[in-house]
Amino acid sequence: MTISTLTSSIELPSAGLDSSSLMWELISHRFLSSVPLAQFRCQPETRTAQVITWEPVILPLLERLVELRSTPEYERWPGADWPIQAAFLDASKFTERLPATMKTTPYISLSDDGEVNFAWSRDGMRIDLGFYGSGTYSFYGRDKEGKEWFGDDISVASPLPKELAALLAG
Amino acid sequence: MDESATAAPGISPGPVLDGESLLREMLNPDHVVDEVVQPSAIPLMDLRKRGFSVHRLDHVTRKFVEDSISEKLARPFQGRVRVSEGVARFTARAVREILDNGSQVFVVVDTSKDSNRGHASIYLSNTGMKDSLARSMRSKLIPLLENRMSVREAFSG
Repeated sequence: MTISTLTSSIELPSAGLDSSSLMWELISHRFLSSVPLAQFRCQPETRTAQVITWEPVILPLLERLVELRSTPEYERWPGADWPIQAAFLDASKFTERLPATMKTTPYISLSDDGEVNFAWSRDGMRIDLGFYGSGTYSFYGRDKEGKEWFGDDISVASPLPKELAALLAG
Repeated sequence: MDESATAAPGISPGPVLDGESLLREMLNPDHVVDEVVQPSAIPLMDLRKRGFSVHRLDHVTRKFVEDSISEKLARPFQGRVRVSEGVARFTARAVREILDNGSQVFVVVDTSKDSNRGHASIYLSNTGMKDSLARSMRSKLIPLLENRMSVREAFSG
């Protein structure tokens, strides 16, 4: 991961916003079209934003989250619970910590109950992992031999559990 | 949830019988992507509380299902058109026979209403389980959603 601080011509909101709010402020303003939005990381304490060059396996996942978060209101199902902003942010934080050596990437989708879901599927291996915006995630994983893994209330600041990382590396 | 209960006496066809065929509308990319049924197609909240909606084949018309799908297809997603993947067809028995440590995992309940008398819902038998376990249970339901066909085929045989 390469980080360079972006300081030019960005006017971030002055106060009272956390980093997630700042992220979506940046998205809504779309102030710098030459840089993919997924490459920004907001620094609310210094009122700056960093531009980050992600590993090739990570950037498309962050871009997917930005794309889903930006879905217009009229495209959403009536009656469905749209994920809260914190769910997208949790998913982004988790994604930043995924191993760059990961060979199988997840399909990211939204469920009608407000979940941001990551699903891995390959050769009989499946992982179902999701975020609701609580600062944690849960998962169920199964390898092709039928061995299972379960996890609940895991902090999004934690790295991917070793057993899951091993499933994705092969 | 009581599988033997009738949701709306006078309107409802009654409890869902084991041999009844159930239909679930399937859309791309909401439920199916690259021929793979996504776990997010089955919201955990539906299994616990709201009910995972299905049509009872014997108590719904083909036109009703087709109109329902058409209504959903009219709404784009991410600027792209949604595509129908047809309907998944399976029996209530197949749902009820999913076991975990010998216990029935899901119930199929009559949830008919004025606007759709052939409506039924699938719930977890134990709605209080942790998310990880609920995820493993929905993975057992996903194979039933893989038996997809056109609406016409579903009503013809």
